[in-house]
Amino acid sequence: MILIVWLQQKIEKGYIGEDFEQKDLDDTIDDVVELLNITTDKNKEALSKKLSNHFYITERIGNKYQIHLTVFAKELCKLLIQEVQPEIKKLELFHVFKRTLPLQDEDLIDIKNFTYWFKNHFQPARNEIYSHTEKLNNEVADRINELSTLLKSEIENPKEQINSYTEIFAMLEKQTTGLINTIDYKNDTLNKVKAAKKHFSKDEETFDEFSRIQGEVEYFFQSIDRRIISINDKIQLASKRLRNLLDTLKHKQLFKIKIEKLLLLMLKFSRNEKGEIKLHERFPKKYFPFIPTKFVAIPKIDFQFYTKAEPQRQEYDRQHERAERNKGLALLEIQEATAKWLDEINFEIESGNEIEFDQWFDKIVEQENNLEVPIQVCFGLIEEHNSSDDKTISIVKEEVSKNKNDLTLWKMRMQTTRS
Amino acid sequence: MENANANYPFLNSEQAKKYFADADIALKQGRHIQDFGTDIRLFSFVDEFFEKGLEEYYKNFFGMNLVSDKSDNGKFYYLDFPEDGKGKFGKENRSKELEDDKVIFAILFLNLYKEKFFEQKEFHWQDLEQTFKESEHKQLWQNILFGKVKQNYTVREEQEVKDKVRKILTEFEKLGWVVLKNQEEVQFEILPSIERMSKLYGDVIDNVASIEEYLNNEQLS
Repeated sequence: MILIVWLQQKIEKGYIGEDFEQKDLDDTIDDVVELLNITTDKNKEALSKKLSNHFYITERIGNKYQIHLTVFAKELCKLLIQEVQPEIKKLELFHVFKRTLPLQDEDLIDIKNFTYWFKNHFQPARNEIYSHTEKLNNEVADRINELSTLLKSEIENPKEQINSYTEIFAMLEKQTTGLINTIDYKNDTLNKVKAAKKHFSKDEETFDEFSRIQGEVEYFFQSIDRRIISINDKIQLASKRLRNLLDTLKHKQLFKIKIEKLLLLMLKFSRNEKGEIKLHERFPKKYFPFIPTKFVAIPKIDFQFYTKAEPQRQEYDRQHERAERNKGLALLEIQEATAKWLDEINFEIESGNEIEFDQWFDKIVEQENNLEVPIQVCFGLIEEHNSSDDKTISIVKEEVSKNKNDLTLWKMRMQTTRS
Repeated sequence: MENANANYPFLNSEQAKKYFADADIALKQGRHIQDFGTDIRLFSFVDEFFEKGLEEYYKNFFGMNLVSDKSDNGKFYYLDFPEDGKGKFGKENRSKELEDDKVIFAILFLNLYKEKFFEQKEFHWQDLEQTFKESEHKQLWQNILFGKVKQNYTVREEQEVKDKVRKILTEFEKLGWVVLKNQEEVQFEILPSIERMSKLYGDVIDNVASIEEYLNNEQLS
């Protein structure tokens, strides 16, 4: 049955014609024999004979024998392909890998053969491998997707499910390893192509065609390598997680549920304030150690977290301050006393009395007990009355000695001049 | 000096000359160092000398814990405050708050990381968009991201949200929680150290039921 299906597939893919030859039939039988590990020629012949009765017809056209499948065989194949597609795919891939991808010596005899190999063997093989890899990738993705349900709390018999998934992934792993092994001879193919470079560098056109094919072959092997490694990584990761999950499933489920709940609460009780997301204050602030290497912007400083700055108290000398203050007070006293005596003397002058300042000097010193006051009074009188028209100040350079304070004065007289 | 180095053998190593300064600066900036990408060399240095004086060094000189942590997927190191304070990082400008928007996204990423338990943790902008626009809680997401729930958003509004997420991811990349594979397209991988959020918010996660009750009661009152 596999033989008939495979013949039909070959026709559909265009590997052989609708009316094919005995050689095509023999090749297909070889494929199946190898796949099914049939070791004796007797079985091969029996297989061919049995099938010829109902499934294909041999006709002589000219001097050639041509074979074609019966309508019954074709209908049966359609049905079978729908039902057992994956198995057929495996067979197809097996054939593609084994017969078409490896490069034979005769393929490299000339550019015509090489181009034939590229178009009729490499390209169909490449398409099949891409398609098969894609299928495997999707299957792995689907299974991994199913795995996430294991973390849901409502799952029944999780441990059994984990075990069954472990088996599924072991199978997928096997398939991937098979795929890796199947294209393991890529180095051989690539080396053969590279070694043939000299052979194809005779003229420019041939060399260009050869280089183009070489480029495509290299690119394919690189990309398929990456793809398969990526699929394999996914399988390995999922298998490793499955093994870990057996021990910690319950804990992980609970923790995951709590995280989901926390996220939901945060979303529910947060708000957007002028474009800024604000969490509810019930969720505490958390901090990281962080020493900035530079300020990328003016730092935002929240002053409530900083000590309030007090103006710095100036240090000063209290004794000096007191001395200055006393000095100021003494000066003030002198000024007050000076003003008082000036008023008194002016009153005397205004009253028409003559002022003999040396006498007033003694009087002031006696009362104020301060030499500074009479001196200031003297200066004040001179300043005030010197420019006055109705008052005269006369200073007689006659010394008047004082007993006290070791002083000597000139006689100074002031009076009003009435005109 | 020799005596001091005897207590901290990592200081005598050749690797310290090459990697200590970078590892030290990274750790003091809150980075989680793991066996990934550009951190691989720093990780091997910290991993090798963790018990050869490096842990003690941070404890004795900075009053900080150099923590060795691991998730299902890998091991990572980071500096953490001691239980009773902030060590030498208690002074101003030596710690940083995880802002509110980043907290929400870090919890989202932790959740996604856990969800992809069996897979590689790589995400695209479309995955996040699906969460914001098609998930069960899309309205809550739209409310905090856009400030309002609408049928359609303008290109500018969409761009602003995308920029915001990109900025958060850039910050997380500095912390070592994600690696941005394509900044423009917002394509990124969540790294094992996102598990730090489980520790950082461990008390909140453990008490999520009581917090829920509190918040619901507050809403009712």
